[in-house]
Amino acid sequence: MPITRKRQIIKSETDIIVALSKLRTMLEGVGFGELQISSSVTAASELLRNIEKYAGSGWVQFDVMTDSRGPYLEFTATDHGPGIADPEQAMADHFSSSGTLGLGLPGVKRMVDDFTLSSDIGVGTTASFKLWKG
Amino acid sequence: MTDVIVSSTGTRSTTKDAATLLKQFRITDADLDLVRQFGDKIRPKIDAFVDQFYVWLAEQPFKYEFFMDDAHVQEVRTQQTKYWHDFFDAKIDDDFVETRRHIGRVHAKIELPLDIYMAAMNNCLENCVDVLMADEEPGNERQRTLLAIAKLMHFDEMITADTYSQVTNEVMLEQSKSMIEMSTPVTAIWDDILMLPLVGIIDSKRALDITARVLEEIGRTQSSCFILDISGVAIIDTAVANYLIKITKACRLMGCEPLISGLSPAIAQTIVNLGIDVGTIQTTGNLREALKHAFDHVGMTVTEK
Ligand SMILES: Nc1ncnc2c1ncn2[C@@H]1O[C@H](COP(=O)(O)OP(=O)(O)OP(=O)(O)O)[C@@H](O)[C@H]1O
Ligand SMILES: [Mg+2]
Repeated sequence: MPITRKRQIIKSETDIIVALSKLRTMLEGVGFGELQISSSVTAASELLRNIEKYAGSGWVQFDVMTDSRGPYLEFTATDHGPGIADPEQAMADHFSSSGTLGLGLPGVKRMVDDFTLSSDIGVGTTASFKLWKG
Repeated sequence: MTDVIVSSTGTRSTTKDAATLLKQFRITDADLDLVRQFGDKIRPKIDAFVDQFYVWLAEQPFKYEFFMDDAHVQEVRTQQTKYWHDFFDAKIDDDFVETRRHIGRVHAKIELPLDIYMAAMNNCLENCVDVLMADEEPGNERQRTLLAIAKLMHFDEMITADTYSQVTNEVMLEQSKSMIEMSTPVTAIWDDILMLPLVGIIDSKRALDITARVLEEIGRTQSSCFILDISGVAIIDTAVANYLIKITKACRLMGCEPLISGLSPAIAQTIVNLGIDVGTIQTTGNLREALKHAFDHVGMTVTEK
Protein backbone atom coordinates (compact mmCIF):
# COMPACT_ATOMS: atom_id res chain seq x y z
CA MET A 1 0.00 0.00 0.00
CA PRO A 2 1.36 3.44 -0.86
CA ILE A 3 2.21 5.72 2.03
CA THR A 4 -0.17 8.67 1.96
CA ARG A 5 0.35 10.01 5.47
CA LYS A 6 1.28 13.68 5.65
CA ARG A 7 3.20 15.22 8.49
CA GLN A 8 4.10 18.86 8.75
CA ILE A 9 5.56 21.35 11.15
CA ILE A 10 3.30 24.30 11.96
CA LYS A 11 5.14 27.51 12.72
CA SER A 12 3.30 30.20 10.82
CA GLU A 13 0.06 31.05 9.09
CA THR A 14 1.71 30.04 5.82
CA ASP A 15 2.43 26.55 7.15
CA ILE A 16 -1.24 26.25 8.07
CA ILE A 17 -2.33 27.19 4.57
CA VAL A 18 0.05 24.68 3.02
CA ALA A 19 -1.17 21.92 5.36
CA LEU A 20 -4.83 22.70 4.68
CA SER A 21 -4.37 22.64 0.95
CA LYS A 22 -2.60 19.27 1.19
CA LEU A 23 -5.50 18.01 3.28
CA ARG A 24 -8.08 19.22 0.77
CA THR A 25 -6.17 17.59 -2.10
CA MET A 26 -5.95 14.31 -0.18
CA LEU A 27 -9.70 14.25 0.54
CA GLU A 28 -10.66 15.19 -3.01
CA GLY A 29 -8.41 12.37 -4.19
CA VAL A 30 -10.39 9.76 -2.29
CA GLY A 31 -13.74 11.21 -3.25
CA PHE A 32 -14.95 12.88 -0.05
CA GLY A 33 -18.07 15.01 -0.61
CA GLU A 34 -18.15 18.82 -0.40
CA LEU A 35 -19.63 18.86 3.10
CA GLN A 36 -17.11 16.35 4.50
CA ILE A 37 -14.28 18.28 2.90
CA SER A 38 -15.57 21.58 4.21
CA SER A 39 -16.03 20.12 7.70
CA SER A 40 -12.61 18.44 7.74
CA VAL A 41 -10.69 21.41 6.44
CA THR A 42 -12.50 23.83 8.72
CA ALA A 43 -11.95 21.61 11.77
CA ALA A 44 -8.29 21.28 10.83
CA SER A 45 -8.04 25.02 10.40
CA GLU A 46 -9.46 25.61 13.90
CA LEU A 47 -6.98 23.24 15.54
CA LEU A 48 -3.97 24.54 13.63
CA ARG A 49 -4.87 28.17 14.23
CA ASN A 50 -5.10 27.40 17.92
CA ILE A 51 -1.59 25.93 17.80
CA GLU A 52 -0.23 29.01 16.10
CA LYS A 53 -2.12 31.37 18.39
CA TYR A 54 -1.63 29.72 21.79
CA ALA A 55 1.43 27.47 21.46
CA GLY A 56 3.45 29.22 18.76
CA SER A 57 4.38 26.02 17.01
CA GLY A 58 3.53 22.35 16.75
CA TRP A 59 2.95 19.74 14.15
CA VAL A 60 0.18 18.01 12.30
CA GLN A 61 -0.31 14.56 10.87
CA PHE A 62 -3.15 13.21 8.77
CA ASP A 63 -4.05 10.26 6.64
CA VAL A 64 -7.01 8.51 5.08
CA MET A 65 -7.60 5.02 6.51
CA THR A 66 -10.27 2.41 5.95
CA ASP A 67 -12.24 0.27 8.39
CA SER A 68 -15.55 -1.59 8.30
CA ARG A 69 -17.39 1.74 8.01
CA GLY A 70 -15.33 2.66 4.95
CA PRO A 71 -12.70 5.33 4.35
CA TYR A 72 -12.10 7.97 7.01
CA LEU A 73 -9.79 10.84 7.72
CA GLU A 74 -7.59 10.55 10.79
CA PHE A 75 -6.21 13.88 11.92
CA THR A 76 -3.90 14.80 14.80
CA ALA A 77 -2.50 18.16 15.83
CA THR A 78 0.08 18.40 18.60
CA ASP A 79 1.95 21.18 20.32
CA HIS A 80 4.28 21.65 23.26
CA GLY A 81 2.72 24.91 24.32
CA PRO A 82 1.31 25.98 27.69
CA GLY A 83 -1.54 23.44 27.69
CA ILE A 84 -5.16 24.11 28.60
CA ALA A 85 -5.93 24.66 32.28
CA ASP A 86 -9.57 23.68 32.09
CA PRO A 87 -10.35 21.59 28.99
CA GLU A 88 -14.05 21.41 29.85
CA GLN A 89 -14.29 25.18 29.90
CA ALA A 90 -12.29 25.41 26.66
CA MET A 91 -14.81 23.08 25.03
CA ALA A 92 -17.75 25.29 26.02
CA ASP A 93 -19.37 27.56 23.46
CA HIS A 94 -18.12 31.15 23.57
CA PHE A 95 -15.24 30.56 25.96
CA SER A 96 -12.14 32.33 24.72
CA SER A 97 -9.04 33.54 26.50
CA SER A 98 -8.24 35.84 23.60
CA GLY A 99 -11.48 37.71 23.05
CA THR A 100 -12.46 35.94 19.82
CA LEU A 101 -15.66 33.96 19.22
CA GLY A 102 -14.64 30.97 21.36
CA LEU A 103 -16.36 28.59 18.96
CA GLY A 104 -13.32 26.78 17.57
CA LEU A 105 -13.09 23.72 19.80
CA PRO A 106 -16.84 23.21 20.38
CA GLY A 107 -17.39 23.78 16.66
CA VAL A 108 -14.88 21.08 15.79
CA LYS A 109 -16.60 18.67 18.14
CA ARG A 110 -19.92 19.28 16.38
CA MET A 111 -18.45 18.80 12.91
CA VAL A 112 -16.41 15.64 13.21
CA ASP A 113 -17.06 12.03 14.22
CA ASP A 114 -14.55 11.35 16.97
CA PHE A 115 -12.98 14.27 18.73
CA THR A 116 -10.47 13.91 21.54
CA LEU A 117 -8.60 16.66 23.32
CA SER A 118 -5.85 15.92 25.79
CA SER A 119 -3.77 18.58 27.41
CA ASP A 120 -1.24 18.87 30.21
CA ILE A 121 -0.25 22.16 31.75
CA GLY A 122 3.29 23.02 30.74
CA VAL A 123 3.55 19.95 28.52
CA GLY A 124 1.27 20.65 25.59
CA THR A 125 -1.93 19.81 23.82
CA THR A 126 -2.98 17.09 21.41
CA ALA A 127 -6.25 17.24 19.55
CA SER A 128 -7.37 14.56 17.15
CA PHE A 129 -10.45 13.59 15.22
CA LYS A 130 -11.79 11.17 12.67
CA LEU A 131 -14.33 11.84 9.98
CA TRP A 132 -15.86 9.12 7.87
CA LYS A 133 -16.52 9.62 4.20
CA GLY A 134 -20.03 8.39 5.07
CA MET B 1 -0.39 38.92 14.77
CA THR B 2 1.92 36.81 12.72
CA ASP B 3 2.94 38.27 9.43
CA VAL B 4 3.11 35.95 6.51
CA ILE B 5 6.73 35.04 6.25
CA VAL B 6 8.52 32.19 4.62
CA SER B 7 8.87 29.78 7.50
CA SER B 8 12.14 28.20 8.37
CA THR B 9 10.79 24.66 8.05
CA GLY B 10 13.57 23.58 5.75
CA THR B 11 16.65 24.87 7.51
CA ARG B 12 17.76 21.87 9.47
CA SER B 13 20.75 19.61 9.07
CA THR B 14 21.93 21.14 5.82
CA THR B 15 23.15 24.20 7.68
CA LYS B 16 25.46 22.08 9.81
CA ASP B 17 29.16 22.24 9.04
CA ALA B 18 31.28 19.42 7.66
CA ALA B 19 32.72 18.36 11.02
CA THR B 20 29.29 18.00 12.64
CA LEU B 21 27.94 16.06 9.68
CA LEU B 22 30.92 13.68 9.64
CA LYS B 23 30.36 12.99 13.30
CA GLN B 24 26.66 12.38 12.73
CA PHE B 25 27.50 9.76 10.09
CA ARG B 26 30.27 8.29 12.25
CA ILE B 27 32.81 8.82 9.51
CA THR B 28 36.31 8.68 11.00
CA ASP B 29 39.67 9.79 9.65
CA ALA B 30 40.45 6.10 9.19
CA ASP B 31 37.38 5.79 6.94
CA LEU B 32 38.47 8.75 4.85
CA ASP B 33 41.96 7.24 4.55
CA LEU B 34 40.46 4.02 3.23
CA VAL B 35 38.36 5.90 0.68
CA ARG B 36 41.44 7.83 -0.44
CA GLN B 37 43.55 4.67 -0.77
CA PHE B 38 40.81 3.00 -2.74
CA GLY B 39 40.59 6.14 -4.87
CA ASP B 40 43.96 5.29 -6.43
CA LYS B 41 42.44 2.11 -7.80
CA ILE B 42 39.09 3.47 -9.00
CA ARG B 43 40.24 6.82 -10.38
CA PRO B 44 41.42 5.42 -13.75
CA LYS B 45 37.96 3.89 -14.20
CA ILE B 46 35.86 6.97 -13.44
CA ASP B 47 35.61 8.18 -17.03
CA ALA B 48 34.48 4.77 -18.20
CA PHE B 49 31.75 4.29 -15.61
CA VAL B 50 30.45 7.81 -16.03
CA ASP B 51 30.17 7.12 -19.78
CA GLN B 52 28.41 3.88 -19.00
CA PHE B 53 25.91 5.85 -16.88
CA TYR B 54 24.97 8.17 -19.73
CA VAL B 55 24.52 5.23 -22.07
CA TRP B 56 22.12 3.74 -19.53
CA LEU B 57 20.35 7.09 -19.08
CA ALA B 58 19.85 7.51 -22.82
CA GLU B 59 18.10 4.15 -22.86
CA GLN B 60 15.54 5.22 -20.26
CA PRO B 61 12.13 5.71 -21.85
CA PHE B 62 10.87 8.37 -19.45
CA LYS B 63 10.88 12.10 -19.28
CA TYR B 64 14.56 12.89 -19.22
CA GLU B 65 14.74 14.05 -22.83
CA PHE B 66 15.46 17.64 -21.93
CA PHE B 67 18.48 16.32 -20.18
CA MET B 68 19.61 14.87 -23.43
CA ASP B 69 20.61 17.69 -25.71
CA ASP B 70 24.30 17.32 -26.41
CA ALA B 71 25.61 20.50 -24.86
CA HIS B 72 23.75 19.77 -21.64
CA VAL B 73 24.91 16.18 -21.44
CA GLN B 74 28.50 17.25 -21.94
CA GLU B 75 28.21 19.68 -19.06
CA VAL B 76 26.61 17.32 -16.57
CA ARG B 77 29.01 14.57 -17.58
CA THR B 78 31.97 16.81 -16.76
CA GLN B 79 30.32 17.68 -13.47
CA GLN B 80 29.73 14.08 -12.58
CA THR B 81 33.33 13.16 -13.33
CA LYS B 82 34.45 15.95 -11.02
CA TYR B 83 31.96 14.75 -8.42
CA TRP B 84 33.65 11.34 -8.22
CA HIS B 85 37.16 12.75 -8.22
CA ASP B 86 36.17 14.96 -5.27
CA PHE B 87 34.52 11.99 -3.63
CA PHE B 88 37.62 9.79 -3.76
CA ASP B 89 39.91 12.66 -2.74
CA ALA B 90 37.84 12.46 0.44
CA LYS B 91 38.76 15.92 1.67
CA ILE B 92 35.55 16.65 3.52
CA ASP B 93 35.36 20.31 4.45
CA ASP B 94 32.66 22.97 4.24
CA ASP B 95 33.46 23.58 0.57
CA PHE B 96 32.87 19.92 -0.17
CA VAL B 97 29.50 20.04 1.64
CA GLU B 98 28.60 23.10 -0.41
CA THR B 99 29.18 21.22 -3.68
CA ARG B 100 26.65 18.60 -2.52
CA ARG B 101 24.13 21.25 -1.54
CA HIS B 102 24.57 22.79 -4.94
CA ILE B 103 23.57 19.52 -6.58
CA GLY B 104 20.42 19.35 -4.45
CA ARG B 105 19.53 22.93 -5.36
CA VAL B 106 20.06 22.39 -9.09
CA HIS B 107 17.93 19.25 -9.13
CA ALA B 108 15.14 21.02 -7.26
CA LYS B 109 15.28 24.13 -9.48
CA ILE B 110 14.75 22.13 -12.67
CA GLU B 111 12.33 19.80 -10.88
CA LEU B 112 14.40 16.78 -11.72
CA PRO B 113 13.47 13.88 -9.48
CA LEU B 114 16.31 12.52 -7.37
CA ASP B 115 16.03 9.14 -9.13
CA ILE B 116 18.75 10.04 -11.58
CA TYR B 117 21.10 11.20 -8.88
CA MET B 118 20.51 8.02 -6.91
CA ALA B 119 21.04 5.92 -10.02
CA ALA B 120 24.41 7.60 -10.52
CA MET B 121 25.33 6.83 -6.90
CA ASN B 122 24.35 3.19 -7.44
CA ASN B 123 26.33 3.01 -10.63
CA CYS B 124 29.45 4.10 -8.82
CA LEU B 125 28.83 1.72 -5.92
CA GLU B 126 28.51 -1.20 -8.32
CA ASN B 127 31.79 -0.27 -9.95
CA CYS B 128 33.48 0.04 -6.57
CA VAL B 129 32.30 -3.44 -5.61
CA ASP B 130 33.61 -4.85 -8.91
CA VAL B 131 37.02 -3.35 -8.28
CA LEU B 132 37.05 -4.55 -4.67
CA MET B 133 36.13 -8.11 -5.63
CA ALA B 134 39.03 -8.27 -8.05
CA ASP B 135 41.35 -6.93 -5.38
CA GLU B 136 44.19 -8.82 -3.70
CA GLU B 137 43.57 -7.34 -0.23
CA PRO B 138 42.37 -9.63 2.58
CA GLY B 139 38.56 -9.93 2.90
CA ASN B 140 38.02 -7.93 6.07
CA GLU B 141 40.18 -5.09 4.76
CA ARG B 142 37.97 -4.91 1.66
CA GLN B 143 34.84 -4.92 3.78
CA ARG B 144 36.13 -2.01 5.82
CA THR B 145 36.79 -0.12 2.61
CA LEU B 146 33.31 -0.87 1.31
CA LEU B 147 31.76 0.31 4.57
CA ALA B 148 33.75 3.53 4.43
CA ILE B 149 32.61 4.18 0.85
CA ALA B 150 28.97 3.42 1.74
CA LYS B 151 29.07 5.79 4.71
CA LEU B 152 30.47 8.59 2.63
CA MET B 153 27.85 7.96 -0.06
CA HIS B 154 25.06 8.18 2.50
CA PHE B 155 26.62 11.39 3.74
CA ASP B 156 26.48 12.84 0.20
CA GLU B 157 22.96 11.61 -0.41
CA MET B 158 21.62 13.03 2.81
CA ILE B 159 22.99 16.52 2.14
CA THR B 160 21.73 16.50 -1.43
CA ALA B 161 18.26 15.16 -0.60
CA ASP B 162 17.86 17.50 2.36
CA THR B 163 18.76 20.53 0.27
CA TYR B 164 16.43 19.30 -2.45
CA SER B 165 13.44 19.12 -0.11
CA GLN B 166 14.33 22.46 1.44
CA VAL B 167 14.23 24.21 -1.93
CA THR B 168 11.02 22.40 -2.88
CA ASN B 169 9.36 23.53 0.35
CA GLU B 170 10.42 27.11 -0.23
CA VAL B 171 8.90 27.04 -3.71
CA MET B 172 5.63 25.76 -2.26
CA LEU B 173 5.56 28.44 0.40
CA GLU B 174 6.21 31.11 -2.21
CA GLN B 175 3.25 29.84 -4.18
CA SER B 176 0.91 29.90 -1.23
CA LYS B 177 2.16 33.36 -0.36
CA SER B 178 1.13 34.66 -3.73
CA MET B 179 -2.25 33.05 -3.22
CA ILE B 180 -2.71 34.97 0.00
CA GLU B 181 -1.69 38.24 -1.51
CA MET B 182 -4.28 38.23 -4.23
CA SER B 183 -5.70 41.67 -4.69
CA THR B 184 -8.96 42.92 -3.27
CA PRO B 185 -10.69 45.02 -5.90
CA VAL B 186 -13.59 46.92 -4.37
CA THR B 187 -15.68 48.26 -7.23
CA ALA B 188 -18.81 50.36 -7.58
CA ILE B 189 -21.00 48.15 -9.76
CA TRP B 190 -23.88 50.64 -9.72
CA ASP B 191 -24.62 54.02 -8.21
CA ASP B 192 -24.71 53.37 -4.48
CA ILE B 193 -23.72 49.70 -4.75
CA LEU B 194 -20.22 48.44 -3.99
CA MET B 195 -19.01 44.93 -4.54
CA LEU B 196 -15.98 42.88 -3.52
CA PRO B 197 -15.49 39.35 -4.81
CA LEU B 198 -13.19 37.64 -2.32
CA VAL B 199 -10.93 34.95 -3.69
CA GLY B 200 -8.36 32.74 -2.02
CA ILE B 201 -7.33 32.58 1.57
CA ILE B 202 -8.19 35.12 4.23
CA ASP B 203 -5.55 35.52 6.89
CA SER B 204 -5.22 38.13 9.58
CA LYS B 205 -3.16 40.49 7.47
CA ARG B 206 -5.46 40.30 4.50
CA ALA B 207 -8.56 40.73 6.66
CA LEU B 208 -7.22 44.05 7.95
CA ASP B 209 -6.39 45.06 4.41
CA ILE B 210 -9.87 44.23 3.17
CA THR B 211 -11.57 46.10 6.00
CA ALA B 212 -9.49 49.19 5.33
CA ARG B 213 -10.20 49.17 1.58
CA VAL B 214 -13.90 48.58 1.99
CA LEU B 215 -14.31 51.40 4.50
CA GLU B 216 -12.27 53.74 2.35
CA GLU B 217 -14.41 53.04 -0.70
CA ILE B 218 -17.64 53.44 1.26
CA GLY B 219 -16.36 56.79 2.52
CA ARG B 220 -15.33 57.89 -0.96
CA THR B 221 -18.44 56.79 -2.87
CA GLN B 222 -21.00 57.21 -0.09
CA SER B 223 -22.56 53.94 -1.27
CA SER B 224 -25.49 52.62 0.68
CA CYS B 225 -25.08 48.94 -0.11
CA PHE B 226 -22.08 46.62 -0.11
CA ILE B 227 -22.00 43.08 -1.53
CA LEU B 228 -19.28 40.78 -0.30
CA ASP B 229 -19.14 37.69 -2.47
CA ILE B 230 -17.35 34.83 -0.75
CA SER B 231 -17.92 32.04 -3.27
CA GLY B 232 -14.19 32.00 -4.01
CA VAL B 233 -13.03 31.80 -0.41
CA ALA B 234 -11.35 28.51 0.37
CA ILE B 235 -12.14 28.18 4.07
CA ILE B 236 -14.58 29.84 6.41
CA ASP B 237 -13.54 29.02 9.95
CA THR B 238 -14.27 30.93 13.16
CA ALA B 239 -11.43 33.35 12.54
CA VAL B 240 -12.56 34.17 9.00
CA ALA B 241 -16.19 34.38 10.14
CA ASN B 242 -15.09 36.76 12.85
CA TYR B 243 -13.36 38.97 10.27
CA LEU B 244 -16.43 38.93 8.06
CA ILE B 245 -18.66 39.88 10.96
CA LYS B 246 -16.32 42.74 11.86
CA ILE B 247 -16.24 44.00 8.29
CA THR B 248 -20.02 44.00 8.07
CA LYS B 249 -20.37 45.73 11.44
CA ALA B 250 -17.98 48.47 10.42
CA CYS B 251 -19.91 48.80 7.21
CA ARG B 252 -23.17 49.36 9.08
CA LEU B 253 -21.55 51.95 11.25
CA MET B 254 -20.87 53.92 8.09
CA GLY B 255 -24.50 53.67 7.08
CA CYS B 256 -23.95 51.10 4.38
CA GLU B 257 -25.94 47.87 4.25
CA PRO B 258 -23.79 44.72 3.95
CA LEU B 259 -24.83 41.65 1.99
CA ILE B 260 -22.84 38.44 1.92
CA SER B 261 -23.34 36.32 -1.15
CA GLY B 262 -22.01 33.07 -2.49
CA LEU B 263 -22.51 30.76 0.47
CA SER B 264 -22.37 27.22 -0.90
CA PRO B 265 -24.59 24.68 0.88
CA ALA B 266 -21.49 23.01 2.38
CA ILE B 267 -20.12 26.28 3.71
CA ALA B 268 -23.52 27.30 5.08
CA GLN B 269 -23.76 23.98 6.90
CA THR B 270 -20.24 24.37 8.25
CA ILE B 271 -21.01 27.84 9.61
CA VAL B 272 -24.11 26.47 11.35
CA ASN B 273 -22.11 23.57 12.82
CA LEU B 274 -19.47 25.93 14.11
CA GLY B 275 -22.27 27.71 15.93
CA ILE B 276 -21.61 31.11 14.41
CA ASP B 277 -24.45 33.56 14.71
CA VAL B 278 -24.50 35.69 11.59
CA GLY B 279 -27.14 37.80 13.31
CA THR B 280 -28.96 40.20 11.07
CA ILE B 281 -26.51 40.06 8.21
CA GLN B 282 -28.30 39.35 4.99
CA THR B 283 -26.81 36.31 3.25
CA THR B 284 -27.63 34.78 -0.12
CA GLY B 285 -26.59 31.68 -1.99
CA ASN B 286 -25.63 33.44 -5.19
CA LEU B 287 -24.73 36.81 -6.54
CA ARG B 288 -27.98 37.16 -8.47
CA GLU B 289 -30.02 37.09 -5.26
CA ALA B 290 -27.66 39.55 -3.66
CA LEU B 291 -28.06 41.95 -6.58
CA LYS B 292 -31.84 41.77 -6.29
CA HIS B 293 -31.60 42.67 -2.61
CA ALA B 294 -29.18 45.46 -3.38
CA PHE B 295 -31.37 47.06 -6.04
CA ASP B 296 -34.30 46.75 -3.70
CA HIS B 297 -32.33 48.43 -0.96
CA VAL B 298 -31.33 51.40 -3.09
CA GLY B 299 -34.90 51.67 -4.36
CA MET B 300 -34.48 50.44 -7.91
CA THR B 301 -36.24 47.83 -9.97
CA VAL B 302 -34.84 45.99 -12.88
CA THR B 303 -37.35 45.37 -15.64
CA GLU B 304 -37.18 43.66 -18.99
CA LYS B 305 -37.23 45.84 -22.05
N1 LIG C 1 -3.39 24.44 21.51
C1 LIG C 1 -3.80 25.17 22.57
N2 LIG C 1 -2.90 25.48 23.55
C2 LIG C 1 -3.29 26.21 24.63
N3 LIG C 1 -4.55 26.68 24.80
C3 LIG C 1 -5.48 26.41 23.87
C4 LIG C 1 -5.15 25.64 22.70
N4 LIG C 1 -6.28 25.52 21.97
C5 LIG C 1 -7.24 26.17 22.61
N5 LIG C 1 -6.79 26.71 23.77
C6 LIG C 1 -7.57 27.43 24.78
O1 LIG C 1 -8.93 27.07 24.63
C7 LIG C 1 -9.75 28.22 24.40
C8 LIG C 1 -10.88 27.87 23.48
O2 LIG C 1 -10.41 27.60 22.17
P1 LIG C 1 -11.37 27.83 20.91
O3 LIG C 1 -10.63 27.48 19.68
O4 LIG C 1 -12.64 27.13 21.17
O5 LIG C 1 -11.67 29.39 20.96
P2 LIG C 1 -10.73 30.63 20.58
O6 LIG C 1 -9.50 30.14 19.90
O7 LIG C 1 -10.51 31.42 21.80
O8 LIG C 1 -11.62 31.45 19.58
P3 LIG C 1 -12.01 31.07 18.07
O9 LIG C 1 -11.40 29.74 17.76
O10 LIG C 1 -13.50 31.03 18.04
O11 LIG C 1 -11.46 32.15 17.23
C9 LIG C 1 -8.80 29.25 23.85
O12 LIG C 1 -9.26 30.56 24.08
C10 LIG C 1 -7.51 28.95 24.61
O13 LIG C 1 -7.51 29.52 25.87
MG1 LIG D 1 -9.64 28.83 18.22
